[in-house]
Amino acid sequence: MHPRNGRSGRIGVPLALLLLAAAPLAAHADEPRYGDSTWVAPYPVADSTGDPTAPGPRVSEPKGEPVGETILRTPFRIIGLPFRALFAGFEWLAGVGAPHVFEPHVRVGVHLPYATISPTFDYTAQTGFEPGFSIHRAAYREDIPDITIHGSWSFKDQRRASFRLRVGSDSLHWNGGLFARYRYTPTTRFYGVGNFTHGDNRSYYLAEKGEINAFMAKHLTKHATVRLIGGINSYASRHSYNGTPPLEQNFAPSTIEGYGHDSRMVVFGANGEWAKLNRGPDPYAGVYVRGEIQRYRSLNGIDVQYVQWDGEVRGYIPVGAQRRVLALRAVYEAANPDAGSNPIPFDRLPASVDDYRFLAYHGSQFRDQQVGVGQIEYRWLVFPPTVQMYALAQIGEVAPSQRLMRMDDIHESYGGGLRYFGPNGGWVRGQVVHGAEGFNIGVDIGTGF
Amino acid sequence: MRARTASLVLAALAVFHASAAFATAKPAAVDSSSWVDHDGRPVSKPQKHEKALWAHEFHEGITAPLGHAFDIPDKILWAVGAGYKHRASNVNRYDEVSNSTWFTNRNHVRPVSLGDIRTGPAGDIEPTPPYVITHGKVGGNNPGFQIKDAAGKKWVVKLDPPACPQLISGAGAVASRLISAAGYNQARIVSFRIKPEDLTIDPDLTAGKKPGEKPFYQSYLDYLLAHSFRYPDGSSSAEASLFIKGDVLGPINMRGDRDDDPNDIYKHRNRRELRGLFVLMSWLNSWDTKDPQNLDAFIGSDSVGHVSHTIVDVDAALGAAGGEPKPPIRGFEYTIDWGWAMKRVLTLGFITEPWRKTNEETGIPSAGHIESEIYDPHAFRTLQPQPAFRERTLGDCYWGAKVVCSFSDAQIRAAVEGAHYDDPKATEFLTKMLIERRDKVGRYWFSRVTPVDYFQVDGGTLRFRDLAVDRRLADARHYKVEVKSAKSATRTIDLADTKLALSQLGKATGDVKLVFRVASGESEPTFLTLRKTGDSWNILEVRHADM
Repeated sequence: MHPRNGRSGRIGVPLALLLLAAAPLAAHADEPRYGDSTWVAPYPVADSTGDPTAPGPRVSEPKGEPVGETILRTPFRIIGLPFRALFAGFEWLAGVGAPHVFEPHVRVGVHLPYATISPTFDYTAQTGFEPGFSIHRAAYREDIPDITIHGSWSFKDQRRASFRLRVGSDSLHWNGGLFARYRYTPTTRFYGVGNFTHGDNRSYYLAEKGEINAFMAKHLTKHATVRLIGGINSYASRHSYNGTPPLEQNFAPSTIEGYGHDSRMVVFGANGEWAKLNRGPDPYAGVYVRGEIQRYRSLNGIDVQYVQWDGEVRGYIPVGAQRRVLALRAVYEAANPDAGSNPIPFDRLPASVDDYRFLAYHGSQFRDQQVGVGQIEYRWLVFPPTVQMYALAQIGEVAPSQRLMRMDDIHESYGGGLRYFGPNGGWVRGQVVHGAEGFNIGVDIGTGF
Repeated sequence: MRARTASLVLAALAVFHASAAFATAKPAAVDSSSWVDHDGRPVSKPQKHEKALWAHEFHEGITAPLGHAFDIPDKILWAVGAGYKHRASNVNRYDEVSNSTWFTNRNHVRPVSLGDIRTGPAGDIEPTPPYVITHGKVGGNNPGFQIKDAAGKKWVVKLDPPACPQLISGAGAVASRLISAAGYNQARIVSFRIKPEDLTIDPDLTAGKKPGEKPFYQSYLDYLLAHSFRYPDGSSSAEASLFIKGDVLGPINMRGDRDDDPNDIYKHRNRRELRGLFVLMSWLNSWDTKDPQNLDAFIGSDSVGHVSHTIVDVDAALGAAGGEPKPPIRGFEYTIDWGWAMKRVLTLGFITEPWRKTNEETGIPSAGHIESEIYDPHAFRTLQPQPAFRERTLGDCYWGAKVVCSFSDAQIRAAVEGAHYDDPKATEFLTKMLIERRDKVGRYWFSRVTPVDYFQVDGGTLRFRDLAVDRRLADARHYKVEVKSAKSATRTIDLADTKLALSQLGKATGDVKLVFRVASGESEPTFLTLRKTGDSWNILEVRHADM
């Protein structure tokens, strides 16, 4: 035997035995496996898919709820009926209303209406249910004026009308327009003048306000804008109806500057804003600064001249991530009469309302020649990307002059809530806030910062 | 006269009886061994149901979760160990879904060929130019329109976003091929190029003469095309979805049933194939699964036929969303996710959600945003909670995983190739991603339910498959089998292979229940009931986890 052959033979025998032993394993490896594109289930369905439309049996009886479970659930179902009905109503409302809120009204290129008219509804405890209408002619191009006309009449006889015309847009170097407004509110609330009014002192008077303003804005840089404004306005205050108690019951009218008289004034001024924010509607980082100065001169012989200015600073600081934000704001407004001027009528004094509202107190509860508010909010996303929760602390004060603003007299508000950033850039805030006069629970639309 | 009256009455009764029998054509017989659930028997045409999308979303997103949160009986049942979830209704004795108007057993019992998967449902057809736009697209976020092509076929067309060629069309094409091969009725979806010169608008549509529709102008079409992905030749990247057969009756209700369809006897939330769909959609990242994405259609004449149930809109899948790559949160949270919201409230927003840890950027415009590393098959979330998904049990999820894991690598590649991506990187990436996600699905669910299945009595041997081993997700292993019968004590057999000599059952007679567990695992058991008749054994029932 050739040595080589002999060696081959010696190796060959164990190899053959090894291969023999491995043969079942190899066969096993080649055997179709589930999920390998070749394996077929050992079921008749693999041979015939059958026809569900042909006569034949069902695979099981329909299964109802077990009797014991029905007995257990029935009392709870009866108790839950009113809630079910309530939520069925919500669902119906969502089905009818949500498409108008969340879905675009107009598709680009599809028939563009010349103007749209839509109903409006407002409600506040002060003015009651207020139906109205809005006519909007949208500016589909920048050289077409954007016009809005609104009118409404409340069940407590508040009447409002407004007209707004705007030409140009934020993307142009300039824009300008007109704004006219009339408001007649027989249930305007009044708590007194000064920093120490109380919510229990609420009374009512009739306020009638009309104004026409023109404005022109110029974008200096992408961060800065200046605006010139001018116009005339008329404020009047009289005895309330539909509001109890009337102002005269809680206060001596003679002690309230300007009550019962008209004040007509011409106003002109300028404002400017500078913003460096990471994004427009809902920033989480950056700074915003605004300032405004306006000069008022009386037109109807009441001999009142004053300068009104206000300033605002906001800051947004991300807390480790974009979804957690520390937001700060300070606002201050002052109306300082000229030397020799008669006092400013009470209804033209800066008040704790809108951006200046003391959150744990009633709107307009405080008014005087100076008002200042500082607020800090910690916000964090709970329903991304549009619903945040926040905790807030706020201080606010009014005073007749800047030097009489004292830390000892500030009004504090603490609380928190949820804020929803709407599809049209507006905010809805629902919050619970506590202050010296107790809790204030409310929903604000379009306010906040 | 009396005889005539009597004969008229009899004739009327006969007609009434016939029509009543026709209207309630419920087969009386029930056979749990049947592989066909005969739910397509002739019935009268049911009513059309339209669903107000926002009302539906409010119900599923707010009303139903709040209802469940305050459902005290659920808590009581849970506390006493009874559980409030019930086994799926339409399961046969093999723990499978029988063929029906909803589902046809396909890939997990008889592999679908690579060619058929690549072609997709409804055969090898594509829109044939020129096209006439017959309607605007109704509902949904993606802009689009309906067309009739030169062959007379109707398609719904959606356009891919400007920076992402074949993003939604590719996702729709891939998902539809896999869903169809899995066994569901599925609309045909293709990714194609549409040229502006091939499109004309039905003059009646422009003139506003179509009832209930806004006029559709050329300027709108120009706008849509300008805001789609454009190829150098001016054509747009688009998805076409073929109209399903029959007269559309409206979206499928995943909660209840159709009262006016006598064939529809199982609550939809209790249907195994709808519960198990969770696993399939999780695999495909089809995060926008909801009632309005599915349609019922009446097949037959104007008055007599049956209802067919089809999944139609699956392009919000893989890495795609409506008009953009998928936002990171989608697939991880509901729009209103109360659980995550509470965690965020309590931690003041300092909790980091899984989707914030993912890096779904693929760098491939056609693939969008998808990954497999953080992907958790169980934690997948659709846009709103789905009633059938909520009711899913371990057994339903095991079944869904079985369907998902029936797809081989080659089949997955064939489905992705069916989308005809221009970018080969998209084909490679999505194939790899789907394979990795499939394996995660298998590992997850097969470790929770003992994945032994496809039992077969072969002479004196009971054979079965271990799907985890077959899929190479686990090494060959031992099993512990408890043998329970009425006339003998319970004992345990240790099995080293996927076969059991029936002689090991001893002298057991009648029904014998075998409880299978993986020897080294803690997964829920699989139950097999055998019946001995004479000398032969027959499979009476298979159950995975749910008893």
